[in-house]
Amino acid sequence: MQKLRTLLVFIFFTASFELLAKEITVNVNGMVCGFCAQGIEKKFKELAQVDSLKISIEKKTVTILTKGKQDISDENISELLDDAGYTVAKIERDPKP
Amino acid sequence: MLMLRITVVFLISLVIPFGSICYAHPVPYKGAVGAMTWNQSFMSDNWLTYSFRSNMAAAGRFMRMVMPDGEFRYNGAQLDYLAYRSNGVGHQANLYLYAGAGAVHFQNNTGGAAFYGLEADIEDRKRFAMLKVEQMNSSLGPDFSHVEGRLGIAPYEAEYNEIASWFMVQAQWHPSLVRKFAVTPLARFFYKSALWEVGVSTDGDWMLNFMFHL
Repeated sequence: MQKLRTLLVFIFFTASFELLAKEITVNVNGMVCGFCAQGIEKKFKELAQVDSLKISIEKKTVTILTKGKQDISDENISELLDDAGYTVAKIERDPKP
Repeated sequence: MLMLRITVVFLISLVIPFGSICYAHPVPYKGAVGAMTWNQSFMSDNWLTYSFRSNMAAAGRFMRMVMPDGEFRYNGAQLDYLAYRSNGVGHQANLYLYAGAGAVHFQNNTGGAAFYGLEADIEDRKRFAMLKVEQMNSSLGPDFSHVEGRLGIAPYEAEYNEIASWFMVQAQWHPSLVRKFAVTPLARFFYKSALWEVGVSTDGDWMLNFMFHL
């Protein structure tokens, strides 16, 4: 019974992680005000993979939540930020690839 | 959405009649459409821009300048170029160059003019400085020289979803206008893609500016 419970918990957590969206956090250099950061929001919302995003001027981060398990490549992120006039300092993914 | 549209139209209708100068990036971001209007009693300056590259924008510029011998109008096309940008961890610095040509109207005569200038700025979340130098040479009337500087501080560090506020002092020198020199303390507010400014110069001239990006 104990083994079955452990197995069920394991399956539940594995399935949950599979269903979770990917969260990509991008540290952005040069993002000092909301008036300018609005371009970043617009650029990322053009991507079909993006479900939602959160911008923090304080932390200088853009956190992107993707649809399902979809990913956005580092090159694509850098290109979008370049179009918006900013540069990438660091990109982190959760869950990690 | 309808309320937003009505609000935007209302704000523009408030700003345009006051006839200006202030600041916003001439090249916001690739694909951006921008409208900027700066209004003072002795000058107004209106820009419509489209950034077709991340460092280049095409602009239409419409100016009204009050000179001792009458009102001088300029309508022209312009190319804005982001020549340099420094994106630091907590700051941004820019250098823009622009040049254009257009038609001028002065004392019931129409002629041509060339316009060119540069704008440099540096800012972090608390401090802002800007310098603009521009020149118009026309076939009618006196040439127009304009030097403008700004210093600003933010009383608090606004987040993305908050209204940001700034207090600034602007100094302008334009020897061919009726008001050759003006110092204007002003307040700037912005929320996401809309920015507005209001100020009164030490001579009592009102300033009302508005900008937005689409």
